[in-house]
Amino acid sequence: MHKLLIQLKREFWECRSSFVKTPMVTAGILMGLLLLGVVPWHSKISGVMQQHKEANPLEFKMGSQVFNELGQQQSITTEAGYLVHGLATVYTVFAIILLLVLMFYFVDTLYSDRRDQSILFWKSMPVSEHSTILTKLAAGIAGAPLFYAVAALATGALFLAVFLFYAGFLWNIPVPGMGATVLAFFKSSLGLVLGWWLLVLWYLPLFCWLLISSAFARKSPFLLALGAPLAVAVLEKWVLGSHNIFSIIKNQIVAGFYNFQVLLHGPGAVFEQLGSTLASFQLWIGLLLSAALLAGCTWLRKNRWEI
Amino acid sequence: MQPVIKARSLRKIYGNNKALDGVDLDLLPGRILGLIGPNGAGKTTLLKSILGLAPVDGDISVLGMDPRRQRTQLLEQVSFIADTAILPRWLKVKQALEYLAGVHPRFDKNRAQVFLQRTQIQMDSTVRQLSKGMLTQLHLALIMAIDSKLLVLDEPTLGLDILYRKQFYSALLEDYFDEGKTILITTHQVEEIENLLTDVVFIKNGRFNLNIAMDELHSRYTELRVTDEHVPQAQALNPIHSRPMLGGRAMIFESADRAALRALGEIKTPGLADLFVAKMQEGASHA
Repeated sequence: MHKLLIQLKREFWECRSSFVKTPMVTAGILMGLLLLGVVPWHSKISGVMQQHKEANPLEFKMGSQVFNELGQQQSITTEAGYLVHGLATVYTVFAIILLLVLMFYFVDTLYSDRRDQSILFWKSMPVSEHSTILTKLAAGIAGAPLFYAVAALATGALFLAVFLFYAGFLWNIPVPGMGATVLAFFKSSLGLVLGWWLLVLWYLPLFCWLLISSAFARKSPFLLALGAPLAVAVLEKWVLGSHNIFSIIKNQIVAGFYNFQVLLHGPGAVFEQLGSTLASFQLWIGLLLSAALLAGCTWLRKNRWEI
Repeated sequence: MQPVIKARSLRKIYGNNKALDGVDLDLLPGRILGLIGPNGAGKTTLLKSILGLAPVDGDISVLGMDPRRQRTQLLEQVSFIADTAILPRWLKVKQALEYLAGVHPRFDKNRAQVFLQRTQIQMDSTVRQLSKGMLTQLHLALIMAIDSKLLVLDEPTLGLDILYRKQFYSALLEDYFDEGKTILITTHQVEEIENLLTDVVFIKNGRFNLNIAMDELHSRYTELRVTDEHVPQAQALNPIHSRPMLGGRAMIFESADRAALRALGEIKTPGLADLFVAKMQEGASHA
């Protein structure tokens, strides 16, 4: 167990900036934008109010009263559901950045040590190739997301706090109660974690494809990872006139992200989605393919690692 | 005594090139074997087969294990330094220690720290920041702190200046080697390891053309330094090699009558480098 942990740690030593620093910086930027955004917006609204007051001094009521009246006419009251939506938007930013980071990580991780020959150092340790590859996969799909999740949740929490403070205290708009807010936060946090794993189920074959490209390539794993499917798809179009390969890949990518978006609706929807996901034939084919690709990676690392 | 390495008729062909062409090797515990050969002679292929890094035909067992199938298990008792430049450049010194302590059951972190304290290496440095000599020191400190039964060194001092090279071998002998350990070294710098070897193998075109204990080498090979006037007589005794030297020639004889040679000039045991040249050119001049 300790051995696996230290191998996982090794991945984080190597990829500290993309696994740990990037989510922290992203959170910092988003938090900064959030706080900075509030100030001009506030002064703008205050300005509008001021104009309104000067134009119609008699009719003018306090902004909060305006909102309150509007609130009675239309449903301006914020519901907990809106909060979940807002949080999901924040989380999606982190998910997209994480996916980009993982793409580069997987396509490089079994190639860079072969290129600089440091693979011989790793191979001088009593660690099997099998566990090396599984550790790298785990670092990508479970390790790095942990840091991204913490950063995303922290940003989400700040988003909630700013929103409630601004709407509730400054403008006196009716906001959901404390219980509903906390519940919304937990719901969307759970949705985030579950949504990520749903996404991983769909993206696993893509990740494994990047890994095997990384283990196989002698020159540019990125070109191979992108070029090989593209070439096959073009060939298919050319010879058979169909575009099945392209559709399959597109479906897989869309399905994965669609599943992640389910987090908009909280954990209940995720479980529902899980049912239909597990019933999908393409998903299981994809998972089988992933296992085969991983076995291929292990074989390549053992037998054809020299560049 | 159970050999540490036991290999029978190892063969490996890359295209038209026979990297190993039927090699047998028995290496007993407590020995230091020098594997010497020109570039492309098959040294690296042999080392790879011992370390399970590449498949070869034939039978090989290292510490009673199959290096291909039991590699992970084998590497708990076999260490190797493949080349000085292979430590990952982003790795910090302290991380290297932590990693080895985590994955290697026979690694002693304190021992490695003691070795490193004697050097200029800082714990917070990354490999990228170290000079080539420091890199070798670091790698050696890591390897020496592993209580392994077999240590394989492939050109460990390549590209180092003489001070580091001397330091490297003296550390290896004084702080690492004991009768429970076995070392296999390949190098081009033959003179430097000559005195520490117990056995030597010359490899050429995938075959061993010499595989001998150093003690036996002293009795089997003789170098004769002969002045010009005695050259024809010496030549008649069939030296395996002859090279010019100031005022005469130096000839190397195999299994020769030492008394007869002594009558012609000064005799001594040939240096490993001269013997290497002799054995490598053997047959070539007649071909």
